[in-house]
Amino acid sequence: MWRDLGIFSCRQATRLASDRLDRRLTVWERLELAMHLAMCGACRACARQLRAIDLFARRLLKTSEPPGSGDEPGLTPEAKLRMTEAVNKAQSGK
Amino acid sequence: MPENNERSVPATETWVANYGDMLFRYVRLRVRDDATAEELVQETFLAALQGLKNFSGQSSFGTWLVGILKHKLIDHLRRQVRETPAAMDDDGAVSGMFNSFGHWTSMATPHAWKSSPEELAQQADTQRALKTCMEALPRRYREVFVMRVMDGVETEEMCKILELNPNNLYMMLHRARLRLRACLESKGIGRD
Repeated sequence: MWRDLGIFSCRQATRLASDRLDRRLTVWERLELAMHLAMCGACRACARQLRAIDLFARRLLKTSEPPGSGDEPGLTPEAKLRMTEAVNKAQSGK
Repeated sequence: MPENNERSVPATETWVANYGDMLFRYVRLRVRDDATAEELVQETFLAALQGLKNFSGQSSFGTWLVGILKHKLIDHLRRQVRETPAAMDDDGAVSGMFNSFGHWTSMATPHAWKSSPEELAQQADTQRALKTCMEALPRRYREVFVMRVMDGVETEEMCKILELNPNNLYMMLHRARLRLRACLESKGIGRD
């Protein structure tokens, strides 16, 4: 393992950069990540971008909600017909 | 929401016309294809019919339907993750970003974006690109990403709901984000 070898790869650094968006890193992990980011511009860019992607996704949800307010396509007429029939059938079978 | 704050049960023949689009849009953002979204909406209506006596009228009828849909969605996600349990398998797209030492390959090396994340987040191009990139994610990555990031479900709860161990969950989120990052970059996001 990279830890045993004292090697901290970019792949592992990006994993911690992602993990920190989902859990609290240990002190040791934070230190390792900070040291790697201090030396690696690519991982620094990547770490910022991973955080940004979460921001973009939350923004996407905001612009699509409340549900029904967006300009996204709704159900097709065929799907509506199918569903209405299914509901009616279930209703008459009750 | 189009339910007009109704606290009573509307006639069943109006359900699909009044709530179908709203439910479909809610769930379509969270699952990968139209067919799955339609199926979940239909299951929601049928479950609502079954459980009509449980509707207390404390919330609007539309909100009650969304609550049922959320449960259907969680059941669907759980099935998805169970049916594709090989979360520890190698992800070629992600592995290909790194060399055998785990360092970036020259093709995949990230570069700093020219605009701030806040600026990019406002742009319609970014939203369009993110949607396209999310569609391209493997199903289980997409669905854990949506649940965690968009719906803000805590990882501990996700592990319980999806019966996943935390390491698998973090790994899937890592892979989802790396794939999304590469995809956005390939679409020119951040290059200005």
